[in-house]
Amino acid sequence: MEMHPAPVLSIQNLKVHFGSVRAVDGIDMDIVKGEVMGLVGESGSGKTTIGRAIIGLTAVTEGSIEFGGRDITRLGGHERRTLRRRMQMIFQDPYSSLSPRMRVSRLLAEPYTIHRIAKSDRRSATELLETVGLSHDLAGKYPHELSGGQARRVGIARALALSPDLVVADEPTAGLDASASASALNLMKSLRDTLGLTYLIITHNLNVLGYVADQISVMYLGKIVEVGPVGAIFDRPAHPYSIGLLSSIPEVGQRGLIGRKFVPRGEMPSPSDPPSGCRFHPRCQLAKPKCSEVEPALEAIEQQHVAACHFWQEARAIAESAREEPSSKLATTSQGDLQPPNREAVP
Amino acid sequence: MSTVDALPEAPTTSASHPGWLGEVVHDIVHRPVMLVGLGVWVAFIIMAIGGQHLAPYAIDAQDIAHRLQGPSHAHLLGTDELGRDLLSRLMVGTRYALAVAIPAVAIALVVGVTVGMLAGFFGGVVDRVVVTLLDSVQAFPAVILALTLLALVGHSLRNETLVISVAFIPSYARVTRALVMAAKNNQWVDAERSLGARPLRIVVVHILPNIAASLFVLMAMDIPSAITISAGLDFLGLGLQPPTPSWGGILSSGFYYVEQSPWPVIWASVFLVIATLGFTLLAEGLRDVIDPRLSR
Amino acid sequence: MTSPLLRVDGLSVVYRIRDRVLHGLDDITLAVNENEILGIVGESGCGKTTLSMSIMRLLPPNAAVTAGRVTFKDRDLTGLSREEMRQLRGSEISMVFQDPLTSLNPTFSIGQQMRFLQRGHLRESRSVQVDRAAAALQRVGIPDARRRLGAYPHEFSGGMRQRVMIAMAVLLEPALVIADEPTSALDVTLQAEILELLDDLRRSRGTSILFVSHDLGVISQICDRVVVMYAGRVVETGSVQSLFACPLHPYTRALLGAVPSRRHRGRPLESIPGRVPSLSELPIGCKFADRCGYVDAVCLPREPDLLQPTTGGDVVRCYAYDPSVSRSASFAELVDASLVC
Repeated sequence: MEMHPAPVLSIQNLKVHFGSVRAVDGIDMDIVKGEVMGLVGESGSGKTTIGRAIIGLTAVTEGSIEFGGRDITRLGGHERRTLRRRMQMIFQDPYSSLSPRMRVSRLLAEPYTIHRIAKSDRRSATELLETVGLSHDLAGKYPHELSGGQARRVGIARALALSPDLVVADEPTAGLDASASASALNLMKSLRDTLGLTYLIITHNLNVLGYVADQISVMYLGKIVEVGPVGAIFDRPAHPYSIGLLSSIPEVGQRGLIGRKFVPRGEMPSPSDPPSGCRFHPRCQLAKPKCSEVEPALEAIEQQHVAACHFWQEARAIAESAREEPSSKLATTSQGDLQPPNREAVP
Repeated sequence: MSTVDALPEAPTTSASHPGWLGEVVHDIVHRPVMLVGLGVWVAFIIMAIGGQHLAPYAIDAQDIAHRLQGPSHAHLLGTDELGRDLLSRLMVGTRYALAVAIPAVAIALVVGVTVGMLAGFFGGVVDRVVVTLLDSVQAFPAVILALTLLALVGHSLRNETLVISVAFIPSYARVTRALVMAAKNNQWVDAERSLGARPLRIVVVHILPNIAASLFVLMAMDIPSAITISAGLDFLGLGLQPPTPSWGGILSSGFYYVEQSPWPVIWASVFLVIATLGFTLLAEGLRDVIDPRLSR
Repeated sequence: MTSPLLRVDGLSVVYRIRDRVLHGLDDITLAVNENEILGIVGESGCGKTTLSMSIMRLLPPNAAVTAGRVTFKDRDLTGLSREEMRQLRGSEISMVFQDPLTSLNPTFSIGQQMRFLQRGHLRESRSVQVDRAAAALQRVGIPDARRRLGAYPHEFSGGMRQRVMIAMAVLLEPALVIADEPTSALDVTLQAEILELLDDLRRSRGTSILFVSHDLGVISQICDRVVVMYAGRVVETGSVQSLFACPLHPYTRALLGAVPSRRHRGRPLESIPGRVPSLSELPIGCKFADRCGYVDAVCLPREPDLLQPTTGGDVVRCYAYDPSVSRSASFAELVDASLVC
């Protein structure tokens, strides 16, 4: 068995409850240094709450978050602030996370000003802008004068100012055009390579994770239902919800990998009143009596791949066989790509 | 998750966006009503600062032989019951009007904003205590409150100023509290918190500048109110006492002698009306110019 | 060959804002056939919403059609009176919007709103209308339909609300439904269900759909043919098959290369330099020229026309495919790549 490097972030039994709303109800997660962990879920799953709890914007009801060798939920003000400098967040809306009355140069100096970093240890606005591929001309502009893509990059630059170990990105492509979104993802990838960053990317868009993530955690109604390397999740998903997610993704030029019939019926119930037993059972096509009685724990499927389902073998088998018969109205090649048309030039 | 392209509307500017000051000045210059208000302000400020030096007569120079006369060459506006020049007394009275109104509103601003910020930002118990206090103060009509307090603490310029400011504190506190609570929901507050900024810094460096515009408008509109209230208090004899030439005081003694000469009453009223109208015009103009931006 | 259900010919729309004139749409030409789903795809600001509003004649007062025509079932819509247009809306052409919460009236129950809709067009007894409404709700998969007629919009969840909107859109069996980003606000599993529902409607009733979206994946799942828009213009039109497998226009190519997916792993995504031009600063020649990887001098002074370079019926607005223009190296590269694919 290979040795795992010590995780940068280790979450144990995290619960975040807002009164009766159990947004996060007992999750574990380990993020290893240098990896991109993707957290995917739909609205109401609690994924944004996890991000906020890690960064410290939302109070934790129960559980521990270990970072830098300490449990940050137990630390007091000054220590916590110092430790939290090493993790930064990139927020969902590229504009509204930038204080509207501050110019870019001042926004980029904020992290240093707040922590009273000596001038000699600061990186200039120009330098930070360069890191994210923006010209120094932007230093004098206000957020509303920037394009969506530029604003996003400024947010990334600001997050990098304190040289964090961990970057939590909440929907990094939201609110951006296709090409701005693409360049933001390219940037994040290259920063990971050049700066050795570790990422937690929170998103509802599995395609983004398919492109950039190393590990994926699938979240449903406050719980993590499956974790595994990106290849395992995409090619050999074991939890019916993950299978459902994969079959729902519209992917350009390819019909759903598994087929329409796995799309989960109905909608996610409210987190204040989760179903008994397995939380997914009301929407699951494989549900059996046991599912409504006993909540499944995360079981090992294969190396580093776990899923919380009593009948994952069955789910997997059905998914496999469905994969063999793509239900598509467009002609496809054997790899599932769209068949290119026969084209002749007009004479 | 939505990126619908909206139909283009008329482009607007955002109040919070800096550079709005230049646009505001431009808008002011293009509205004659506001220019009138501005003119009134300038005139009164000059009078208040100049005081006795600008006035043709000493405010206490009595001329009993010519008491209660109407406008004449010697006395442009006439004389009061002791033969003193009305114009001079009213001009100097400007100083007292503004000396009460402006500090009263300023104090109300400082105290109200501080209290409102604490309540809005920290919420919880702090908020509840503050709101209860504010409710108690606001339950009294402003004038009654002022009357009561003055009766308790005695008459003087300083007390009159403080008492009026108490009446105005709740509105600043509430507006600030509401704006801070709204601002708190912005993502950039989250971002600052995640960077490790302390609440005080967030409020002072980030939130305040964003709400300054609204508060500025409020201030401008409260000054004419304060002038009116202080005139009322002086009229009732609860504020500044004679021989101090306050507008309310002049009005009051003018009423006593109104059958013999209506002029003190008339001119004191004119000064009051011009001041209130002029300042209100300016304030409303400011609000029209600044507020459409705020609602973006 | 029957004439298309909806035809847009050379449609141009401007907006008047203060003293400026913005060109929202320029020379839009497209057609929706019967029993077909036509996709309109483009990023924000490309004019797709303006297009759907123009067809329905629901543009704001500061907008005006300056050229072109919209023809529906061989009737010129631009020439109709307001009353005639009102009669068309809801019964022959209907719309589904992105956000059902703001598109449904919160103060009336679903049943009432569906009745208003019917009353506006048909004279029938109340029970007939209630039956039709209940059947429509059932058709879109809302359980306990008859009882739910009394419910208010806020009592439905997001996905259910969208189904209600679709039910209302097809209540009077229109020939054409214009769906403007109908699934953009929904979670991906709900989106899949709604797409399936729309596809079903087309299959079972022969309803044509004009499907507007920025999401290429969604478009490729459900549409038969696609129109790509950029800066208020059509830049490419083709069948879903040919367009996604073998795009002709540089913008379409770049757009497809920018969408992240597992297949693109390990390669940087294609990112188009520059920004979408604002409507008040449109360049003179080809609107995509300043961002195009294959640009040539001929692209700048004058905008290219829509051309049909292949036998497949696809059209593209790009000089690279213009036989009368000399082939530069970059043009050759583009054409070879797209035709050989």
